[in-house]
Amino acid sequence: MAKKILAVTGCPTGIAHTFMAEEALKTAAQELGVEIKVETNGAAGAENVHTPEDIRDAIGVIVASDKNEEIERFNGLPVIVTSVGDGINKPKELIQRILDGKVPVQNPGKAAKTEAAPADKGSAAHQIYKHLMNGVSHMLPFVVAGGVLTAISFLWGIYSFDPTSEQYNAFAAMLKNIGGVSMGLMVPVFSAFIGESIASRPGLVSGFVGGMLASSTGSGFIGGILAGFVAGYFTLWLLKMLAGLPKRYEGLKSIFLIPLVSVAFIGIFMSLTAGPVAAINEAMMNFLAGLQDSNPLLLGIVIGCMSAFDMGGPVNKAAYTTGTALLGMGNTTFMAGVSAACITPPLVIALATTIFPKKFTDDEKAAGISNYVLGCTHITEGAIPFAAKNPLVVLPILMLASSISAVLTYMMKIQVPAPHGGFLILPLVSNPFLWVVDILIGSAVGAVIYGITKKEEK
Amino acid sequence: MAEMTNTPGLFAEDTICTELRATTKDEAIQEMIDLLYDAGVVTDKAVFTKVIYDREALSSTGMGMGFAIPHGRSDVVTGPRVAVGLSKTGLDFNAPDGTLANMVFMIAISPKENNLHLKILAALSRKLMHQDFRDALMASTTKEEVLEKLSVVTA
Repeated sequence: MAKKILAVTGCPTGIAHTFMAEEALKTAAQELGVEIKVETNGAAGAENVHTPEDIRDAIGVIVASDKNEEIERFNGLPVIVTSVGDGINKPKELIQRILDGKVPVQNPGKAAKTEAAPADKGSAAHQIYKHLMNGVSHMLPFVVAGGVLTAISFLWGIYSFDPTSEQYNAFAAMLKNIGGVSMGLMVPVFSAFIGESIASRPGLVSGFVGGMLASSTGSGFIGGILAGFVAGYFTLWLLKMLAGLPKRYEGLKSIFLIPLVSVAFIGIFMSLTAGPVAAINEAMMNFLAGLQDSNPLLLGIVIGCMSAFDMGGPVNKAAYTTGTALLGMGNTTFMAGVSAACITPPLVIALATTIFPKKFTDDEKAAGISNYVLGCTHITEGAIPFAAKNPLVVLPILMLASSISAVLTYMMKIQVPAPHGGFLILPLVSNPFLWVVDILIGSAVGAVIYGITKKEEK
Repeated sequence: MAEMTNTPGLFAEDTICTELRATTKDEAIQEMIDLLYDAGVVTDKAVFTKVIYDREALSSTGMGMGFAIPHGRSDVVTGPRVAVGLSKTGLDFNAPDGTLANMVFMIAISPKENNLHLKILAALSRKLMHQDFRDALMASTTKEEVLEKLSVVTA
């Protein structure tokens, strides 16, 4: 593959520096024997704009500009963002940094890089994944805030919210209430932003209402997915149907007709399907909960693989939300395995960078240290940049490691009563020492395999 | 692409100075604004001075490599013009590489400028990135020579 680098240059007036940086980068690229394409964002508008094909074939991007450039389109590529002055004065250095592979990948978890181009719609599966991830990424902050606040309230004792209990503490009860409200928004926000991803703002409205109904009728996460997609696509269809309406009805259409019809539709749909969907949701949770007693080994493997498979994506969240739902019903064992499996991937990375320092670049070692923190606080996403570099090898290793952690946790029937918080909630864990050991065993096994299989980087 | 060996109006003898008297950035900017004003390119010194300094405030236009290119777009500019000032001693434009500017190109354009002139300016900017072009320009001792060296800048 030809080593093609993309660059974007720009400056506020767009008269001179934009083009100096362009020339400097081109000259430097020629000297270094690399192919470069420079998009100039000058006074006459953007010229030589990068196409999705350019972005697909690129090995890295240099953005040398003093004004805001569209950089989301480069997600998944190593991107240097710097001043136009650096583009003019240090072109060789910038190019060399890309060639050395020392530049971190931008937003590796977020969607494929060709997505920014509106012309490129991608495959149907990819579209569905994109909508799901839009829901997940907006939902996650609610879960983290709610989960951690709830976990903190448990520090006063697990029944500290209950006025009839000896442990009762008014502040803890307040925290748990706040956390509960935040967690309660999980499914509605998830559905709302699936709808938004499909049909933009009009889809948000119907998705939100559909998600609230899913939440209140017990159809849970599965109901939420259904609500988001049905609301989004129905609204999209409705928009198309009403596209022919005369311009003067535009206001009426957007603030009256579309919300009214789309909300009524999703409301009726969710109400009618609530029974069966709730039954499916319950059956899935019962099945997983049942496995916990009958076959902890299988459950651990399933949970481990789900949690590490997409690290924070919909598959991971399906396991996670099942855990939180069961937690709500008083099942604290299930969550223990989910947490263990979610904590493991970043720890695998962190341990690997510590055990095999020679195989990682300085940047990776720094990222490894932050992965200790991310792992200990149950933020699986930390492992994504490492997995993204070589997913076919790294993902199975992480899945194996998470499975080991989860299986051991289930075998020892450890209980974790908080939905989030990683090692911050250790005081609440039924057997904190063993739980940490379980997680460390899984992580260490993963780290050793990862370290051995990883190719050395300069 | 039209091959243009001269760039009408963009450079002119009356806005070229082969030996700036200025010893500081501020003096140089003032001296060159005077050149543009005297040539009738800029109709209001105070307004154009403010435009130039507003741009400098964003980031110094001393780009290193021995040149600076202060520039402004304003209604008080009658036509596009690049004033050229050479300084043997060099001027401190706070360039990132610490070098003094021996060449100052002050660009004056009006907001309704057409694309051709922007393209010529882009071409000048590109040329300036090459050492041999800068050296040749710096070696000029007369206005005619400067104009001749700049004639290779085409859209």
